[in-house]
Parts: sequence; structure tokens; C-alpha cells
Amino acid sequence: MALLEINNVSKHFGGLKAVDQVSMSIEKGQIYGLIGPNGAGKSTLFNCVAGTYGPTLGAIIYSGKDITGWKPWDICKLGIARTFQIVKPFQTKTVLYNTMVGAFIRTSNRSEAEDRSMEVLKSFKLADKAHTLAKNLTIADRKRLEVARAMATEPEMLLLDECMAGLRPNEVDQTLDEIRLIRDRGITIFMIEHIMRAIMSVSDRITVIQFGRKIMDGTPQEVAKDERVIKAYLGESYAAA
Amino acid sequence: MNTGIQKRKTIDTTLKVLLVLFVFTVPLWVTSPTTLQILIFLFLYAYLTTTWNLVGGFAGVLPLGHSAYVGIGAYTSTVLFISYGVSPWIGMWAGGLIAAIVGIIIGIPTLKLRGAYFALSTMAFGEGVRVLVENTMQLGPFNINGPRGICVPLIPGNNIAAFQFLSKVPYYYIILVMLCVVLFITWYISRIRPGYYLAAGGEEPEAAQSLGVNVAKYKVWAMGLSCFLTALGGTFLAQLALYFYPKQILGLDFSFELAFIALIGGRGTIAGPVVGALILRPVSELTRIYLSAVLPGLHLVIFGLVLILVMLYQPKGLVGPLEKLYNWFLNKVSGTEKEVRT
Repeated sequence: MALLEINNVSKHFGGLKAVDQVSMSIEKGQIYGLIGPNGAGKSTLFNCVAGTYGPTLGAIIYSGKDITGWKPWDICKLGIARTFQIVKPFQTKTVLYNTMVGAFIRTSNRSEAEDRSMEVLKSFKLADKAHTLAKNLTIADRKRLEVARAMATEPEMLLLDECMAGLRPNEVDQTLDEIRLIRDRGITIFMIEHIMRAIMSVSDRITVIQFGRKIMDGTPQEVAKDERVIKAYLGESYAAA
Repeated sequence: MNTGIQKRKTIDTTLKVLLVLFVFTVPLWVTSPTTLQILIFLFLYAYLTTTWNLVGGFAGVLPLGHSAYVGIGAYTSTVLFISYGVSPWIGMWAGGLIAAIVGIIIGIPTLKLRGAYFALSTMAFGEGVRVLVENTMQLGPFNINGPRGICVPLIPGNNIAAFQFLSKVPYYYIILVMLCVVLFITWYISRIRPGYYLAAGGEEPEAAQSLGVNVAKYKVWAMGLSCFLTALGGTFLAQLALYFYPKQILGLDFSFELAFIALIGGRGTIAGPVVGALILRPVSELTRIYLSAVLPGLHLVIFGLVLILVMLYQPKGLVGPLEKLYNWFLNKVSGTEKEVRT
């Protein structure tokens, strides 16, 4: 059985169908990519899964439970954590404080939350910056903090919304390694990414959407060869080449 | 280096103990009732701002109608005392409870609003309560006397049960203890999960929600607690002055003053309200004494000026630079030149 099933999910904003009858199913332990041109509805679909919006139509099933329309905090408690495309650290707080907010979901004990957070920070090479204020971090560290904070909630599934955008190539490689490490710990990853090199190398399976509709899904090799995908990204005239 | 840190710690603790001793022994050598009254008001404002800070600081919104809850506290305990002879010590809890319930009812819809909208809605509520009270002579069985306000019936002599004392000294100690308690509550909350959740929800609600925080729920609870404690301060104010009227105790400038004190001292910090009160209360008292004949309300204008200056040069309030100065002094005295994390 799939860990996460998205069944015919639509999200309408007034007359705009931001997401239009998209279905996909993600197996446990996979790294699942979601790609598509700007404005295709990727983040909206993410927000539906994470509970930011309830979908207009359709259902979201997580390990057999219908979580359609659940609130974000309940979804997080259930085991789905997310990051934001535009990072949202608690600026005036330290890196450790940021991470502890996440860790508090599994314990109400302060020192326990602190210990768990330090462990997470160590695995993300942020331990030496634990007492730095989040606003003083570099963009790469902020993005890493975003993931670390989500990991502190001890999720079974992690939604990563463009966690590599704006990073330098070597930082992208480092993030890819970290993502693989997270997967190796048994956590399923569902990610949006624009950097093709990154998403193609790391994903087990990819879904492509455009104008809110699903074009196709398949392995990275299948996706790269598919004519509809090339058209969506490069336009009609490149499709023949 | 190690001995330096040891020395620094000793000096730090000694200074803090001395400060507490100093504050608690003030009435032994200050005999002027005027000075004591000024100090009592200073502590009362620090107290009320600390309770305001639970919502206005930690939950990251700007309530501008907290005078309503001060009023609820004052009116409830006084009306119960007049009508049924209930001791204000008991009436104060009733006032707190009513204020908490009202705060929660008001908070549930308004705390969903962001920024200025929340501030405006609380302001409208505060003003609404004032106008309502000013136009109500009789509230059910209770005579609240409209715009003329209420006198707390005088009981001759010192009467602990009636919360009335001839000297200022008992009031001084009562408000000092209340302030200490509420500072401890704030400190404690800031160290446990609800405190982390409140601060997170105040700063980035969406991120907090995605990390498992039901932001609205925590804000509403903070509002309830804040209103409860604010109302206790209201009863104290009523017993101290023994007379109050809507324009004074429910007025907008009262609410504003609490927000000003917090902003100048440092919103969302534990010591901020105390620092703010230490700075603004003397300004307020002095301008009231020397300038009120020139222009009534001038103290608010001066508040505004101080606020603008602080916001321009120390937008997080004066607690930060003061803390830095104190740490610098400690390092200087104990010879630990390097920054030591406390």
C-alpha cells in the first residue's frame, strides 16, 4: 500500500484551477519528485497535502487515513513535516530555539527537546551555530535550518519545497547528500525542485504537472525523454529535436 | 580564565541579591508617602505591562484595549464588596475570572486578525466598554454609577480583610510581591513548551503551524491568562486609590501607556516591562506634576517623543543595550574580557 495517496485532488481559487484533478501515489522509502514550470501548481498541491489549504475536490490518504482538510499541526503530529519555498525561520531566535519548536511536538520536556535538537543540528552540521540568531545565517544555512527544524519533528514523510533554489552548485551537492541520508533513515521524501540536475539524480520517481494538470509520471529517465515534458519546459519548437 | 568566570558569576549573583534586598528594604528608609506612591505606581505599571506582555510581547500581537480588563478587575471586586461585603481579596479572583472569560471570548475571533487589525479591534473593544460603563448607572443588581465612578467604602484603620491600609507600606509590599510573581510566571512560561509555541506563532505563524503548533489555541490561552492577571492589578488599583471612574481606569491612554512601556522597555522580554516602567513612569509623574497646568495630556506627547527616539535607535527596546552594558561591566570587573555566554 502506498504511504501517501493523492486522489483526484483539485484546488480552485475562484475561477482559477490551480490544481486540477491530480493523482499520484508515493511508496514508503521513496524520494518522489514533483516538477513543472513556474505557476504549474506544485506549491499549491504541497499546501493541500500539508494542510495549509483544504483541497476543493478529491482526497488525500496517508497510510490508510483520510487526512483531507486536516489542520497543518495535526498533519505534522501524524508524521508529515514540510519546509517552505521561501524560508520562514524564527528570525529573532537562535538556531537551537528554532529547532526546539519542532522537537517539542514529541516531548514537553525542555531538556529532552534540547538534546534531540542538538542531535538533529549535529547531523545537519549546524551544531556550532546552535546559539547564532537565525537572522544572522547565510541563505544556505537558513535552508538547512528549515530542513533541520522539520526533521526535529521526527517525521515519517518530509515535504521539501525547493530546498535547493538559490544555492551554489557545491551546496546543492551537499544538500543532495543530506537528502539521501534522510531517505536512508527510512523517511519518505516528496520534493519540489527546479534544479533538473538535482531532481533527476536523486528521485526514484517524478510527476510532472503543468497548468494544474498532471502531464505524466515515471522514472527520471522516462520523464527526461518524454515529448510532452520537453514541450512544457522548452516550447513546441524544441519538441522535435 | 576559569577563576575569572567564577568571579564574574559571584559578582553577578551578589549584585542581583543586593538589588532584591534594596527593593525590599526601601520602605525602611523612605518615609515620604509621595515617593512611596510614585514607586507603587511604578511597580503597578510594571506589573500591568508584564501581564500585557504575555499577549503583546510573546504572542506577537499588539493589544490596545487592556484597560478594559483593569476595569473589569476594579469594578468586580468593588461592586462585590459594596453589595455583599465580599473581601476584595476574594473579589479580585472573581474579577480575574470574568476578565479571563471576556478576554477569551474577545480573543477567539480577534486573534485571527493580523497586525494593525488586531490592534484596532482591541482598541474598539476597550472604547466600547468605556462608553458602555459611562452610560450605565445600574448593571443588574449593582450600582456602577456611570461616568461618576465608584468610591470603595472606607473602613476605618488598617484592615487586612478589606484590603485597606492607612500607610503606603503594605501597598508597596503587596504590589512588589505581585510583580515578582508575575515576572516569575513570565520567566517560567518562556522556558516551557507553550512559551516556545507562543513566540514561534507570534513570529512566523505559518511556519509554527507546520511544526505542529495550533497557533490560535496558544494565543487564546495567553490572552486568557493575561486578562486574568491584568484584572488582579485592577483590583489593586481600586484598593490603592479607593476611587475610580471610567475615563481614568477604562481610558484609551491607560491602554496606550502599557503598550508604550512595553515597546520602550522591550517587547517580548522578561525585564522589558520593568525597564520601560522605570524610564517612563518618572517622565509621566514629572510631566504631570510640572506640566499638567500648561497642557493636560502633555505627558502622552512626551511619551510619543521618547517612543519615536527609542524606535529609531533601539527598535527592540532598551533592555538589549542595558544588558550589553551590564555584561560589559561584569567582564570589566571580573577580568573576563571575552564574551561569556550566560
